[in-house]
Amino acid sequence: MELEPGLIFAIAIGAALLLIVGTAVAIGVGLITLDRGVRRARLGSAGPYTPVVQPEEPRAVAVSTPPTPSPLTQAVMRGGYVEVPATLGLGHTKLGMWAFLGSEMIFFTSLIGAFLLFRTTGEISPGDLRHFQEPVPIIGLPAVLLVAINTFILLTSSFSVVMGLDAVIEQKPRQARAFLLGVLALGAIFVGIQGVEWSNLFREGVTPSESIFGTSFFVLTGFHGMHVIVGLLWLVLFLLPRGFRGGLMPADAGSVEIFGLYWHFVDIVWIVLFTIIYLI
Amino acid sequence: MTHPQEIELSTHTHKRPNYLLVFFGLLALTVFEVAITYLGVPDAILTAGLLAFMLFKVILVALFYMHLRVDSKWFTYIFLIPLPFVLLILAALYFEAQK
Repeated sequence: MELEPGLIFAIAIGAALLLIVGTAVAIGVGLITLDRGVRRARLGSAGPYTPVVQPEEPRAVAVSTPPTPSPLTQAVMRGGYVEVPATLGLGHTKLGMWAFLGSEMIFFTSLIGAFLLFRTTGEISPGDLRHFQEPVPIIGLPAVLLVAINTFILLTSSFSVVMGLDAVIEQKPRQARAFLLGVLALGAIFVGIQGVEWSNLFREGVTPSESIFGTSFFVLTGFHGMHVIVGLLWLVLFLLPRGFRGGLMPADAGSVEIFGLYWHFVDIVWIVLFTIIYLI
Repeated sequence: MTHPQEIELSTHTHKRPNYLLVFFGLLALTVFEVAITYLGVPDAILTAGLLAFMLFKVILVALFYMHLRVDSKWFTYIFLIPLPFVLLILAALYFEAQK
């Protein structure tokens, strides 16, 4: 089925509007809900958050005490990471990162949805996907197996991030630095292997402008790759310098946690892309 | 005077999930995913199976690595708010493909 260029344009505009409106509504609803929670908590507790228990008046405490931060947030706070609002116990940066990840979810859905649409309409044919079964020169493995190895690498990097965060919380700065260096190495290898796969496709004549398959594939994997590179820059410019200067201390746990959220989301996107593009 | 809850906070030991187990679970699921594509399973079952494995992996990462299982429920709500829009986009594209 051929789609009219005007229709494609209309779909693109519709998707972009949905993306913008959806993101705005999602953030708006989230903020309003949070604001209500904050107001409710403030109604009973004048002044900053103090985790006070008054056993002699258990009913009054239940009404007036703001929600206790989760164990993870408490662990981060104990290390000296103080950017935690008084009422709900939610860090501004962490809250912002989650809202950002919500918008990223809609962004990638639009791209993945377009890929699925072209698969359904036959504009991306089984013949296009056969490229993934071709062996990659030098390595000799089919591209899909090479990408499976790349998936292992990204999953390992996610594991390394959580271990790094734990090492920071448990005041083991050398270990934390080693784990984050591991993330840097694994992320760089991931981007390198992606480059090998791309160059193989170029050699076979698949380019971004050559076909709908090429456009969809390179846009999807390209945007994901850009996210990985941004994560690596984050490590190199902000976290690792701290790790080498004075060591990552418990006060840095919040920063490592925020980076981890971003990195794990990038991992989740790859889990979805691997299944949708290479396996189905 | 030290408060009872302060004592509880200061002696709290950082309990972590078994990250290694989650990691091996993710690896095993990925191996299964790749393996079943070579088994000649009918397309419909293969697609359903692959999507189920994918969803399970996503949930594992979100719950354990992103700490949604132990962290404040607010973050889970914020992460889930865009889901209806995700479904809306996919539904719009699906109906477009049916034309």
